Amino acid sequence: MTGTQYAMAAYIAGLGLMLLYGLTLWVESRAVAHRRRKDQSEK
Amino acid sequence: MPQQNNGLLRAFWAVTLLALAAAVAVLIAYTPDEATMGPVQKIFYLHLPLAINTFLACLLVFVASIGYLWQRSVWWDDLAVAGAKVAVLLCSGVLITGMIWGKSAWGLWWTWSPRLTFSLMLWLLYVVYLTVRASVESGQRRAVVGAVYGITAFLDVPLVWLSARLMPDIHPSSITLSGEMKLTLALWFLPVTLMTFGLIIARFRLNRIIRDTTDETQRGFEPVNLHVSEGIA
Repeated sequence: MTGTQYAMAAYIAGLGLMLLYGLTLWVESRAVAHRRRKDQSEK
Repeated sequence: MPQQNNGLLRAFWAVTLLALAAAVAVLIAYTPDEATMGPVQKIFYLHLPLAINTFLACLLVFVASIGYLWQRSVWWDDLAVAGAKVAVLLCSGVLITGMIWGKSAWGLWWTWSPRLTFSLMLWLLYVVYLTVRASVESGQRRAVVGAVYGITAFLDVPLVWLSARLMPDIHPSSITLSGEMKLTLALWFLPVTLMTFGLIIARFRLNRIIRDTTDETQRGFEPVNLHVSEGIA
């Protein structure tokens, strides 16, 4: 592997981790909001 | 009001992504390669901001843990958990980017040098923090154990910081940078710090919403008055 490829791999891994976690939080917050709306409509 | 918050959040993430795009563009088009290491040295512009933000997230856990023990408010506990989760995430990023850099520069994925060992310990400490919390059933006990642990775990942060300075280490304690390199580093601090801040806030808000929607007694938080009267009795 070349130095550029190592650098690209590091950036993809490092930033990918943060973006993936952000995406997970977004999906989780939508699921929680959906559950809250459902609970409120049942009441 | 929630709509206003959503608009602010969208604007915040738009600015963060713009800052990230600008940092990537500068890194590719403007930043020169370092003379001895070549293009692989560019990992540094992500590696260092991730490391500093890991320390900030750990500091947040430390402060929030003291806040919880002082005020016994679950607000602090939720903040500490959000900080710890993001600290683990960032520390994972530091270890992965460092390993990739190490493989290219030293020919090794890993070596038990003081800086690397203390960094791995830091990651393990906060993984254990989250694991220990998950294993305690009582909400109040979970928060107290978490707070005491969160204060103790922070002791590793100065060890990580000082290890490469005070002990012989393959990991450099500082790197000489040209003017363009310093500018790139400063530019990379912006999106990484904004992302850290945004992820902690997002995790914290979610913790608060989940706590609000969950029956407190199910989570093990007995009503405070009952707890106090039991204590007096």
